[in-house]
Amino acid sequence: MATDVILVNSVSKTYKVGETEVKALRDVSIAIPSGQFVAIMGPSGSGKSTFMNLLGCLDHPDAGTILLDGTDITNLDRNERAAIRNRKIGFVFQNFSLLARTPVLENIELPLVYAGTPADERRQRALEALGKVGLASKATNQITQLSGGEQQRVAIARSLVNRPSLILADEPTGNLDTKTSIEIMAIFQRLNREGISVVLVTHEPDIACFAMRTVMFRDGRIVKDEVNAEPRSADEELVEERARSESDRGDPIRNPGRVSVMSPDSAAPRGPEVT
Amino acid sequence: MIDFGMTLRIALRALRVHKLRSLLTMLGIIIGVGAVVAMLSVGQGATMQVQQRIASLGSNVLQVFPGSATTGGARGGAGSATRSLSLDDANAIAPACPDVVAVAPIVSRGAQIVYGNQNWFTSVTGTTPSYLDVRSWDVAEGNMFTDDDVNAGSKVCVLGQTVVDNLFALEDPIGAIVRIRNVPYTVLGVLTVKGSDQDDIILIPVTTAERRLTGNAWINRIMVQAVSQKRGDAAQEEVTQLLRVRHEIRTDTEDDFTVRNMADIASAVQQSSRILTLLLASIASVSLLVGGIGIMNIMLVSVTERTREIGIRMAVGAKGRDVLLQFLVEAVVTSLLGGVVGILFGIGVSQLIGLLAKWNTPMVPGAILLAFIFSAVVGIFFGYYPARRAASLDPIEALRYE
Repeated sequence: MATDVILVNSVSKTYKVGETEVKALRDVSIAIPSGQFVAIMGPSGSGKSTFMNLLGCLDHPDAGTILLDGTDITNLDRNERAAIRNRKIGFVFQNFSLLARTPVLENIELPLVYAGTPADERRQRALEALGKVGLASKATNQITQLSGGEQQRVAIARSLVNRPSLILADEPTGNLDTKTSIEIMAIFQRLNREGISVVLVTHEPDIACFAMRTVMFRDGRIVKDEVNAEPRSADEELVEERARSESDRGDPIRNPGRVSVMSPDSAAPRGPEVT
Repeated sequence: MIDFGMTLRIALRALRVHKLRSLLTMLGIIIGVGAVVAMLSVGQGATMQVQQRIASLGSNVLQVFPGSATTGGARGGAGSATRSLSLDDANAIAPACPDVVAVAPIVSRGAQIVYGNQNWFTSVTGTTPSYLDVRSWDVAEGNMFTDDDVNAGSKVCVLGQTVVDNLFALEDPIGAIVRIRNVPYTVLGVLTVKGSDQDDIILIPVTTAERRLTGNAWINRIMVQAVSQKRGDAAQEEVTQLLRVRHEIRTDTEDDFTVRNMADIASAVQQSSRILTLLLASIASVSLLVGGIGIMNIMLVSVTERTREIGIRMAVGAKGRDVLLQFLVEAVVTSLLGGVVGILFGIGVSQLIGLLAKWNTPMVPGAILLAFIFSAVVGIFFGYYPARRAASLDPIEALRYE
């Protein structure tokens, strides 16, 4: 039991939208062992967001139980949930969700501020987390001075800083180009190798391929739950990518061996000349 | 629990981000607090001014006025019995009352004074030389008329400085002849300056005034100086008993005169000016209320604008009370900063008014402290509702808010 970071037992959740009731989750059960990297997929309205909110201790189910790290989080009140989020969970969002006009380091310190950690220790742990995402040099920058990829890395550093049992990443690559997405996935894979459990929600099958296990939601139920025999390795792809861009500079060609990897530069705007 | 220094820093940063907005929000409090401080200070100045004036009349002085007259069953107000005090009454007081030092009968009328081709309307006061003792006054030049002048009904006078300024350009007034109702009077002296225009006065012997000015033997009032302020009540009692005997008033009948103690008048006037100050301050505090509503308004806008920020904070573990405290501190910092600037502003305004009105407008430390506390209370009161609203946001909704 204690080896499961998440243990969900026949959980249901119904929302009222005006007069009609929406059954967002119907009798969902799943166990996620500690140290696993799970991708959650499904179309909009499939219940995956509701599921994430429940795992993230932002909401509570109508029926069923949820254990996080062996602790029952099913029926906690607002403040208790806030405390659990603060200690056990790191959030990474699609739109980065950083505080603009607040320096990088203070953004990372935020969970520690609410944990009541002393200022010295806050600073030190924030720097440490920033180092893990490879942005140690940007500690004093303002958020607005960073690129999207860098902002997402700051967000990951923030999710790490409280040494959580679980990182919940909701479409973390949704606003990023392919190459940056792979860089972000490389960080998640590295953190996962260090023992942190990661649950990742994504639309893109390419991104889900980086996880060890894919869980598919549809109409409030888990319709598919399979182990990826051979997850993609983001580090290896970055090495290949670098080699390729050095040899093919300025001459974008299709890479025949890959399923749907676009040219790494295609997402980055290049000015008016469109081919 | 989040530490307070951090909360303060977050609040200050939020205020810095919208500088103009914060300043305008503060302006409401600045004006409110400024107005309260200025009004209290000016009010205090006015009270002091009145007190000084009364003190200059002499705080150990009693005034005897004619009482109410009953004519055919209808009772007039105080002073309606203009024919109840005589010069003999005044003369009888000093020998009979041990707590009385000096007595000055007063007959006064407004009259036009003419000197050469200049003229001036002023109050002509018929009295005796002891008037100067009672009012602790003196002559600056020349002499006061004497008891002999009073006995003889001489046509002599002593002028106040204001009258001198208006009638005489460069000439020496001493020895000059001025005309009051066509009667010539020789100027014997000029009074020292007393200020706040008590100097607009002419003194003549009381007998002359009766004969030439009023044409009867009744006097308007009697000023009585008690031995000391403490003996004021005793003197009042003695004078009352004496006059009742002299006027042959039976024990079951009311006095036909009124004795007023200056100390009573002083406290009455002081009371009324205090009420006036309070009134001004409460009107001013309405603008403080308006300023508070301004804070509430902006805080509500700010909470809506920063819904996402609130969502982020909650996601990483901010509890409801952390968010509540953050917005409450922001509101209180706004109103306290406004309060401090407002206090300085109020001091400035009261000094300016003091300068223009030539009053002393003292700083009232109590009022400043009160204004400071009041602005903090305004911040807490009007900041609480928006902060409560921020704290009760649903983190899921807040995170989704664009």
